Amino acid sequence: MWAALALSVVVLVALGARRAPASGTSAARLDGIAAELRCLQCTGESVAGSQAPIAVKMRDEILRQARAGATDDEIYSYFVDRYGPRVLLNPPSTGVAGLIWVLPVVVVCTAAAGVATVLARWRAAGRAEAGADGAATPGVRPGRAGDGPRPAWRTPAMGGAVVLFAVLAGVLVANSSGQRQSGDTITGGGPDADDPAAECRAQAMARPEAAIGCYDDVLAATPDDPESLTYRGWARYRTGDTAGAAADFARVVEVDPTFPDVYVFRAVQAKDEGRFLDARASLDRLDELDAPAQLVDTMRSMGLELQVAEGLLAPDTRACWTREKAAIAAVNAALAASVQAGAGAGPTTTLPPGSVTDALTELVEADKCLAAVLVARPDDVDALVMRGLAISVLYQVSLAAEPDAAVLGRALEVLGRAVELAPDDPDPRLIRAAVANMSGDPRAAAADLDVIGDRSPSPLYASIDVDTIRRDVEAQLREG
Amino acid sequence: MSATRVRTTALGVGAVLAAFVLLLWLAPDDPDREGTVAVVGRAAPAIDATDTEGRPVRLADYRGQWLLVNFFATWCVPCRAEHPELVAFREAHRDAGDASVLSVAYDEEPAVIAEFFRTNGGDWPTIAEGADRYVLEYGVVKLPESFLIDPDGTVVHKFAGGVRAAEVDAVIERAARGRT
Repeated sequence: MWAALALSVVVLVALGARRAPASGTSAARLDGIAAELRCLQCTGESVAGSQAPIAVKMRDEILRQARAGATDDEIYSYFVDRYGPRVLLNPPSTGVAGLIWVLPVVVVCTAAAGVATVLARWRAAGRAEAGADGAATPGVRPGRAGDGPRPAWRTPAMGGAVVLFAVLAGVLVANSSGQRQSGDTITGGGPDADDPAAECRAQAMARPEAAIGCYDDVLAATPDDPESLTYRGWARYRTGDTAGAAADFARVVEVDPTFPDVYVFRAVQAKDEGRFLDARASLDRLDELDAPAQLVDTMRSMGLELQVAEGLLAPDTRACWTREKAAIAAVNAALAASVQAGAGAGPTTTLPPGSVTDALTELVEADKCLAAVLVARPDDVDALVMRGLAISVLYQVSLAAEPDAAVLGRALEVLGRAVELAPDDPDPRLIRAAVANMSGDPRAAAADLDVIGDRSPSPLYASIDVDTIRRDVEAQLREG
Repeated sequence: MSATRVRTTALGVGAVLAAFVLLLWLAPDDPDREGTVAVVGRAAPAIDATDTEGRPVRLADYRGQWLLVNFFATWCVPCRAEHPELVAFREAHRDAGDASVLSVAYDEEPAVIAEFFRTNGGDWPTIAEGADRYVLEYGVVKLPESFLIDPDGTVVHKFAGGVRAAEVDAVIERAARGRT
């Protein structure tokens, strides 16, 4: 009877947790749906409670679909199809995440069974003391007064049955997806109680003016909060208040020089204002700090390091590099197109006639341009490395027509000079390793790669995959 | 309860729990957890709009070539940073005509977009009106995001946080190899 009662409770709880079917465009319905969807630009907020642009768009879409007669499930499916299950605030009831729903029920049921067992034993013991005689049969333990003897396997079997029942109950609850209110944290508190800047962050992307006001309010209470100062600075910068931005950034460095985000924005501002050395200094400082991976990824995805590296080049070298970079991009595109057409990839890729004529012309022009720079400044390491790279790409492009080993020799000569001038710089050694490997000298390539070690090349050459070269060199060495 | 019985009971309960956890662990998990993208691998959501110059833009018109659908805003720093890479990508493929770029502006006025392109280069179409619909259709969360669509109209890759021309070319090369 107890089992039947427990099952009834679980079923009723599960049914009660189900969303009531609804239709129409009432505010209650729309809010209810929005409250079940996660604002993906926010932290711990629902679409209903956020002013982030994506949340506004999602609410508009909910209204549009509700007007078109969509059911709740159809609306949820629309968002899940596009954003995946993570858009739902309720954890999924399948997979490992389903344990969130199941385990609490298992624990509660098991504990309840344990308490019931202990109580039953106390009661039986009391009755025994009151005069009931128990039979002492081997392998059979005394039962409650009036019961027959109970076999030894009964206790473990009961335990297993209780756990099985609990698991089934948990799965039932999981499948009916209980309601955790949107915006609740795991401890039940609101998401923003300890993070007053959360709303400012939500506004910062599309409405920097509003975000400035919001951060002003936060900073009135906590004037030295580095995050609010940094992001108010960034909002100010975006609205054209460069002096206000610089003041905020400077204040952050004063009050908390270890707050990493500020160095990214300082670098952006310095770069935009043509102060590339300052930008580099900010990026170096960021490097020294244990910056969160997400921040580093964002900074890399902005191409900030590359832009700063290009800004630090001498103007004439930069002009040559711009031509060379575009030409190399065109060659890569032609190679991709060639592979797409079924030619296959690799050093023997044959490029369609005329597909890289323009790129070839540009590379030749870049080479001439760099030669002119080197006449003026023979020891310009950047120009030497770029020239070595240009020559080697020219060799690769003309490979199918007429391989010319002398071309690679010229590249190695230029790169050798660069290595002489800057023996500790990984860039000339990286390009020289690639060229040496191409010219069939993997030992020389390996020697350069050993000197480079785990240092990263300049962002200018970030598209050159050191690991691929290393693997290729090792393969060539193995083949003898 | 004797020690043996306690042990037997504990073992029984433990075994059932372990089997259950194992069952959940082996069960197919959510196909689209954080880090994966719902739209990738599917037919690209249709686009049928008018660009900022008033010209019609349809996704179907790009069949037979690679298309990079770029969601951006002029007020977004990473978007501004990636723009030269989009220009380089477009220029590298202009003559071959095998790849194009189509931008979708996020909360932006056409006049601002026009000024942005005038200053920073790029001559591909940009959709501003009705962009919200495409933002949701493609499952865009944070700008910039770009979706690479193959010549058959399938989304093959999502770039979040900015693209590099060489990276897009590398993805095209890999995807093309998979197609052949």
